[in-house]
Amino acid sequence: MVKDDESLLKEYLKGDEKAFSMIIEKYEGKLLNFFYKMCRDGELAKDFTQEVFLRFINGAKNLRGESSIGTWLFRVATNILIDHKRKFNPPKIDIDESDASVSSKAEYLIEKRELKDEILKAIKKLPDAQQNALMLFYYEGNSLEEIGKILNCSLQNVKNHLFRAKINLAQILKEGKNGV
Amino acid sequence: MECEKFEKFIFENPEATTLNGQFSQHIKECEKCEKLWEIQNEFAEFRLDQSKINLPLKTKSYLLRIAKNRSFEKFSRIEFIEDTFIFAIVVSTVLTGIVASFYQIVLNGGMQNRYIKMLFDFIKDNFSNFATSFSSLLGKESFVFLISVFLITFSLSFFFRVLNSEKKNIFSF
Repeated sequence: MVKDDESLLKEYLKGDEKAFSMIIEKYEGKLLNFFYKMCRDGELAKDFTQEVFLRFINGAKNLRGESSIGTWLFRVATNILIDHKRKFNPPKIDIDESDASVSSKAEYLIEKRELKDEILKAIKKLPDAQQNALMLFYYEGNSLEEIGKILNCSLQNVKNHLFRAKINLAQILKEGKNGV
Repeated sequence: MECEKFEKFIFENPEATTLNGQFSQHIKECEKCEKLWEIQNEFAEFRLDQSKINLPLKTKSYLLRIAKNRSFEKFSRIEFIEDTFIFAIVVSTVLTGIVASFYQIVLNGGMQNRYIKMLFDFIKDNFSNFATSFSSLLGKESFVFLISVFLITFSLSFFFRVLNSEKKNIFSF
């Protein structure tokens, strides 16, 4: 039986090991996918996912009031990635300009990676409701109706949060580029 | 006008990853909408791939072990206080019972030892109310005595257990 996050958290805080096992089952794949897409390194993705769960073990009691365990885990995941990128700058890729196709592909990949990093940092500047909506919809893969139930708001409101989040992100990225 | 239509499309279709010809043309001409589309695509990529991958079993058992230890520590703290509480209740009840019975014996003339008699005569002379009331287990002084012994026993046993405990981490909340 699939339990909701609230009851899983309650049971875990009471000391139920099965609840923790179910939390891992529910989120390990999503977190691994998230980390893998963000850093393209399978081993690093595993280490980061483990780190997220370790932080959950130590900080679960502070989770009361969060909309879902997932939003908390992804918030932690974002922090871990930002810290990691701060400590280890990605290696520079030498582009062989004589090969036009390789050069344009490499440029594209670099741009994609930069955009990913910029979005990651910019998410932290969004209001909580917009951050939660983004994480629940894109990272966790919930439907709009499910998010409405979790965030206790209407379908239109969920769409609005998602839309405003993307508009705000575009604005933050533009300001970043213009050095505002 | 095109921007409005495009934004409405993004609003209504947060998981869209393809555009029709009209919108494709529009994002080539409008930088703002192009950025919005780029961001939508970045996120939609996560939603598209919800393939089920798992952590290695070794990592999972490590995490479960850590969680179990954490939970054990938490419950040891509760047990520690519970044990001390039960110990104090037992000690204070037994002690109160002994003292009250002792009084009964002395008051009924059952205690012949002259030194003990002298001691109780002294108490009776100086603390007559206390002595009379203590002759019954339900007396007010018995209750005060019980509470005092309980508090003293609880505090002392808690203090000494903390000093001597191997579980030094009981305060590491």
